[in-house]
Parts: sequence; C-alpha cells; structure tokens
Amino acid sequence: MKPIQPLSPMRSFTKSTSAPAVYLFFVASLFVAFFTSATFDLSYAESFMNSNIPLICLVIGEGLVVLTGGIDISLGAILSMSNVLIVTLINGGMPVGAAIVVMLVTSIVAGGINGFMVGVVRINPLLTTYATSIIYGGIALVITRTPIFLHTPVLSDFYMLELLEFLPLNLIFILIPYAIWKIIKRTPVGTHLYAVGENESSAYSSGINVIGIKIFVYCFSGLTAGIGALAITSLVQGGNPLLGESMSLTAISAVVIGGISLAGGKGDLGGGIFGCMFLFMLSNIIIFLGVNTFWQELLKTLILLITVVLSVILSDKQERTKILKGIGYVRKPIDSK
Amino acid sequence: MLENQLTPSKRSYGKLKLMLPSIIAIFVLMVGGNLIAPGFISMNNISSILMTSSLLALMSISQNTVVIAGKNGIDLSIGATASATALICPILPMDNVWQLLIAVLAALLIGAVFGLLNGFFISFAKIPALIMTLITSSVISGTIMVLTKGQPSAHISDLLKSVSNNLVPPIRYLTLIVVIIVVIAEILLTKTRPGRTLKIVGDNFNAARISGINVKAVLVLSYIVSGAVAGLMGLLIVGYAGSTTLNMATSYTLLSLAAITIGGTSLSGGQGSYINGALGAIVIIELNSILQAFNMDQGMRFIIQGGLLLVIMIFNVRGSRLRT
Repeated sequence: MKPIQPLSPMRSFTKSTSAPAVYLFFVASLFVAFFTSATFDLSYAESFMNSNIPLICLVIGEGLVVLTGGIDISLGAILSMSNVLIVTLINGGMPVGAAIVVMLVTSIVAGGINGFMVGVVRINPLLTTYATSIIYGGIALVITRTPIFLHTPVLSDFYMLELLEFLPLNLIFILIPYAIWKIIKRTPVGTHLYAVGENESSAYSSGINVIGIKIFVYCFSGLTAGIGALAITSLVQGGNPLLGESMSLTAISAVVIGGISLAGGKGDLGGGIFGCMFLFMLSNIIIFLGVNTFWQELLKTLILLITVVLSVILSDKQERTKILKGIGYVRKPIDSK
Repeated sequence: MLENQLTPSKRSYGKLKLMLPSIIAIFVLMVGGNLIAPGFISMNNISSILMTSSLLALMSISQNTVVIAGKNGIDLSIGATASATALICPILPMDNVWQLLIAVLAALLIGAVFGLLNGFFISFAKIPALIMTLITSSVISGTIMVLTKGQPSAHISDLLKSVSNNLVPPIRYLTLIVVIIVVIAEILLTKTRPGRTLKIVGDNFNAARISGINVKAVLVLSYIVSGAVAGLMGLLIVGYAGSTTLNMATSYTLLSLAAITIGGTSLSGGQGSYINGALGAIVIIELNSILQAFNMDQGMRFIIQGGLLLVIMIFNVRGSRLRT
C-alpha cells in the first residue's frame, strides 16, 4: 500500500471551502477593472482596504464564532459602544494608549458576557446576542446620543501611515487577529474549536472543555470588534452610537459567502475575509456602473442572493458532485498502480 | 411528544407552565406600571397597549410558524414583508367591504410570494434560514424602492382606518381580529392534522421524512404562511397608524423573536404555542409602555429592555445540559 500523499498546495486550495469566495472576489475585481469607470490602481486598492478594514475585523470574529456553531449579532453593537467610548475617553484627556487599552478590555468583557450566557447559562446564541446587542447599543446611546468628533488626529495619522511609501500600516489591524487565528489553528485548541462546531455533545464526551472554548471564542470576537472600533474611529475621526448597527448582519453574510458553514465545524477564516472583500467590491461595481439609484439596492441584493446560493452549494461536497454529474462530468477513477 | 399525548393531565400542566410566566409578568407589570405612573391601567391606556400588542402578536404568529417548523427556522424578513404590503396595498381602492377584502387578499398574496422565495431556497438549496431571510428582506426593500421611488402613497381609506376604532372598551376592532386569528391558528396547530405535521417535522426532521411526510413541502408552506400573515399585518398597521412610511414595520422583526421567546418557544423547533406568543407580545409592549412612562433616556431604556429580556430567557429557554 502506498502512503497517502498530502495534496499539493494548489489542489488543497481548490478543494478548500474558501475557494469560491476567492474566485468571486477575483471575478468581481476583474469586472471593476475592465468594465467600469473606476481607475484600478494602487491608490484604489489602498482606499479599498482603508474603508474595508473595520468590517474585515468583525468578519474574523464572527467567523470564529460561527465555526464553533454559534452566532453573534451583537458585534456591531460592541463596535459602536467601543467607538463612542474611545472617542469620549480621548476627548476627556486620557492618554491615547490607555484609552485603547480600556476600550479593548471593555470589548473583551462585552464578548465574555455573551460567552458566559451562551456557554454557562446555555441560552441560544442568537437570542443571547440579540438581547446583549440591545444592551450594548443602549450603553453606546447613554455615552453619547449624537455623533461626536475626535479632537486629536493621532489615530488617523497612524491609520494613514505607509511603510516604504506603498504598504499601508493599517493592515496590522487585520493581520494581528488573523495571525492569532493561524497560530490557534495549529494548536490543540484549534482542533477543539472544529470539534465543538461539528458536534457539541461528542466533543464534550471526548473530554473537550466545551464551555471554555465557547467563552474563548466570544471573548475573541469581542476583541476583534474592539479592534474594528479602533480602525473605524481612526477612519472616520469620530464616534457615532449607531455606526455598527447593520455591520453584524453584513459580517454574517460575508462569513457565509466565505464558505464557513452556519451549522459549524466547517470552513476557514481566510474565506470569510475574501467574502467580505467581495461584498465590498460588489457595492463598488453597482456604484461605478452608474445604475439608477432606485435600482441599486435591488440589483445588489439579487447578485448577493445568487452568490450566496452558489457558494453554499459549491462548498457542500455532496451537492457539488450532484451538480457535476448533472452536467455530465464524471471524475475518472484514480489509477491504482 | 408521545408522553404528552399519553398523559393528558401532564400535558395541560405543561401548557400552563409555559403560559404562567407571561400571565404573571402581565399582571405584575400592570400593578407596577400603575404605581409608577398613575393612570397606567386606565381604559385608554390598556386599549392602546392591547392594540399595539395585537400587531406584534400577528408578527409572533408568523415567526412562531417557521420556528416550530424547525431546521433552525427563523424569519428575519417578516418586517420587510409587512412594510412592503403597507406601502403597496393602500394603492388599491378600499371604499367598501368587498374592495377591502380584495386588498386583504392582495396583502396575503404579496406576503405569500416573498414567503415562497424564502421557503424555496431554504428547503431546496439548503441556504441557512437566517441568511436567506436576511437577504430576502433586502430584496424586498430594494423592490419597494423600485416600485415606490421612495414616495409612499398618501391616501388611506377611512374604512381601513376604522380598524383602530373602539368596539367595546378596551377592545378595538383590530384587537378582536387578531384575537380571532390567534385562536384559530392555535386550534389549527394543536387539533388538526396540518398543525401536528408541522410540529412533528420540527421535532425530528429525519423521522418525519422517513414516516412519509413531504418534509420539504411542509418547510416551504411554513414560510409561505409566515409571509402571508406578515403581509396581513402590513395592511393592519396602515389602518392602525393612519398613514404609510418607508420601513414602518421593520422594528417588529426582532421584537417578534423576543415575544415568542417569552412565550416559551425554543429556537430548536418542534414546540411552541401561538397563544403564548401573543401573551409574550403583550408583555413586551407593556414593558415598553412603562419604560416610556418613566420618561427615560432612550439608551437607558434599551439597557433595561435588553437586561430584562436576558433575565426572562434565563428562566424560560435554557438549553439542556451537556452531561446527560
């Protein structure tokens, strides 16, 4: 018997759940580059990333929660809360570094409360995070009811810094959480995450600390929401208690397009990031095509519907083979020499 | 389920047990509300609370139907559906009863079409309900944008407005209509074949399929019913408010989820009761009304609302232990 050969990098990519999102993103980018009035160059890419980073942060957190079979619709509210908190703190005279630390700790605690309710008290994650999203949104409104302006430009100066004239430094907002994920994935905790997502009670039976894992992922997603808040504060130079309202649902769409199964246990965060960038590219297409304002939303959501259906079907192996058989493609049996 | 059918006394106790928290909450809130704001239990206030909560009760029927049908069922598009019919239906003439009936049918039909869209993709393309209904709600608001160009029609017929007239204080016509619908729906759910089929499918999808139930059709039907009821609610909310605005019913989507949760429906499907959902709706509207009576800051109100919701969930919908 021959030992099982590991797949080549190319082959393992095309077989991965993230592949559809990556394809979609590149198709959309090519479309923007060739069929619209947008000038597709380095500055376009930079401004694209600048405005997209906060949402990508949320997608990383959301993706991890969804991997373990949960869902978090309070991330947008945590982002709003942290956003107005840090602006008020800095405007109140706190040193920027201290304000950042306080804000990040607050968002981790907010995520931890979610994790506690889901893991220890055992309430459905959707209901828990719905209730907590009302609470966190309320706290944001208590801090300030109207949009406020950040007086010191420290944060936005950092956000616009570029290394060697072309590499934006703000990419670390994504790279840090993503690197943490990549490290976690190689440790036993990574395996445990997938196991909990696949089947909670078997994971428990095999001695995995299910409750600990759950609390950890919600804390992590709270942290990413905090990082996203930091990014968005630097981007818009101010705070708004309603800033993140619609962001958690967009993040969930991005996660699904990225091939992470809402049932849990399947997918990789990289796919979610590409799913998010695809969504943003889609809005760009609609804007640059110059579609009538009244038709914009309908067109965008119809494309979104098609892509979600495609990515869900394509990332499901059984469905994929069924469709391939339907169009007459039969994979040749592997030679057994 | 089987055990419940074998021991009738236990079954009625189980029903009461789920109903009791909401009933107690309703009375506690009434007494508490009157202590905080004298005049809280005046006829006028009660009748307005009942009317608003009957709108939410209708939404809780639609939400409950898909949640009972299981497969992680949830419908986040009902608010958008109701907003759509609220904008489209007033275009129709509604001067006599027959024209009103046609408008009601149109509302049901529009809702059913959106429900079919949901149900088809959820049951045949296996898109998770959460994401599918989310997208549908944007599709609907996009369609509204195209159809109305952002300008809702102005004229509302007096006949439609009369649903908010008093019948016997504190009951208004709208409340009566909704009470009748809730009771009929509850009887359909518990006493008839389609209702039981719905519960069985929600309880155990695979077992239902093996025993010969067309599970996919049931799933699609549950979304169609949910959409149709939401469409009806859109027509009634126009009569209640006396005018139409864009997205006037969107806030009811997540409130309906809260209402059925207070009513003891678990999101895992297979169980739930429309009457309990309606009681949950009353609790929520009453709570809102008290918080408004406090003249409290909006943010503070949200914090208390969310906190109370969490506390209710701790008592009502805790999951089972991992160690069995």
